[in-house]
Amino acid sequence: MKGICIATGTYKDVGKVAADRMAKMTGLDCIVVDEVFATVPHPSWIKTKVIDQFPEIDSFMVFDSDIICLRPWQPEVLFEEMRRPFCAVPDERSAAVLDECMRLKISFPDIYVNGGLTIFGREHKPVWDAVWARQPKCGYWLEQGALNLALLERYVEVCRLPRRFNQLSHQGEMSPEKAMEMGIINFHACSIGNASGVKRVQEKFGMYVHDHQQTEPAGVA
Amino acid sequence: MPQVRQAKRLVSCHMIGVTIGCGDYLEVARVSADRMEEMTQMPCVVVDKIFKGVPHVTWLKCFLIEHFPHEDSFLYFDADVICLKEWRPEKLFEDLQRSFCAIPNSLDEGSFSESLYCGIPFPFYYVNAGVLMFGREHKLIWDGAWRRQPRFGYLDWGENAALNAAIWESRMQIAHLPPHFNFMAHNGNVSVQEAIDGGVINYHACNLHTADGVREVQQRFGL
Repeated sequence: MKGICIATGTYKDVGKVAADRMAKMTGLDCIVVDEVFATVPHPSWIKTKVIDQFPEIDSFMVFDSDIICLRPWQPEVLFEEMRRPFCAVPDERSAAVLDECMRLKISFPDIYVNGGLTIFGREHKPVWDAVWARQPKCGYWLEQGALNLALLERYVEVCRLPRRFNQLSHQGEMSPEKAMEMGIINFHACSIGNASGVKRVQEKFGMYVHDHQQTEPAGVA
Repeated sequence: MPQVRQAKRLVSCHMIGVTIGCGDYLEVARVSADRMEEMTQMPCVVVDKIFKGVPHVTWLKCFLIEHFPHEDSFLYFDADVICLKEWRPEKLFEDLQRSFCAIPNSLDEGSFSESLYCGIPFPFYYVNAGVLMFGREHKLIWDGAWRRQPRFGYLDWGENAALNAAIWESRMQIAHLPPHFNFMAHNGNVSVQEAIDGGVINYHACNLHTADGVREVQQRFGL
């Protein structure tokens, strides 16, 4: 399994920090995809092409650059233990997600998954192809609505992981202490909208201490 | 207090497998438990006595945490579940950071009715209570299920709807595992070969309603 963080343009640096952190906490080889290698409406749609882009890789964990891994975990072991289902985490129970679900005719809540962290194998290429078929736009959030429709229409085996594997925090407002107290594994500082904002959250979690050498996040005993 | 076969317990195992097999179901439950034990390398026991006043034996699930005070975590499986492949429940449970683990029910009209009754989304949310993993910390969920006895749900599916409603209201961390961990074969009507080819880990011969029916399916699977 390879960890892939998609972070192009100004997100490249925060993507590197997120990937280094994920590698440290999971033991996976995590890389940053910082070039738009396919013609896509938005870099986020690159997710649909990672299986093609890495023909030698058997399975993938793709995560957004605004995700901070807080606890050690083993994505590959988990994926294999569950016999390689497509893994994702349900999105939050919010009005915006409800609205998206209504538009796309998806049950609400807890069915619609967030596309910020997914685990899948090469056998899931048909899912991503079905996502790609819906570009350039499907729902509110880039390729996310298309991913959800693809998962539902293809009846693929899905594991909806507990929320702590991709805990959303709008604009990263949750404190590191609270995040640790909640047992969060991956903290997703979503809806920030710019790389400098993501960097600020990463700093809040102690990821730029000692000249960019990552340390334990603030709040870790 | 129930005696768990310590000799079979792995040194590192803190989980116990439990099935309920009272009355006619005792024999098939033992077969199912032995099979699960063999495939998971984990001690599996049969609850064969109604140790609490319950509307139906399946409601005993609500009290497993109390009934086994020294066990840390549980794999519960119905007596009509046949484990077909090796797996490591405790490892999976711990890797999922001890989330309450269950498997969504099949996409049928019954699940739809029950989801509607419970006010929960359909499909993929309403879980089948035939295979579950949980820890002592999930007592809250079982207490929530028990509050809804003696009957809850549109259909008479024992404590199943009550469990779903309790999961929903608990807001605890839930892992919805893929279907092959609790593959529902109505009346056991999916063949051995199809099940194996389909990668089924736990085959759930549901809706048989008699121990003899379960035994026939177990025999078909060479148990």
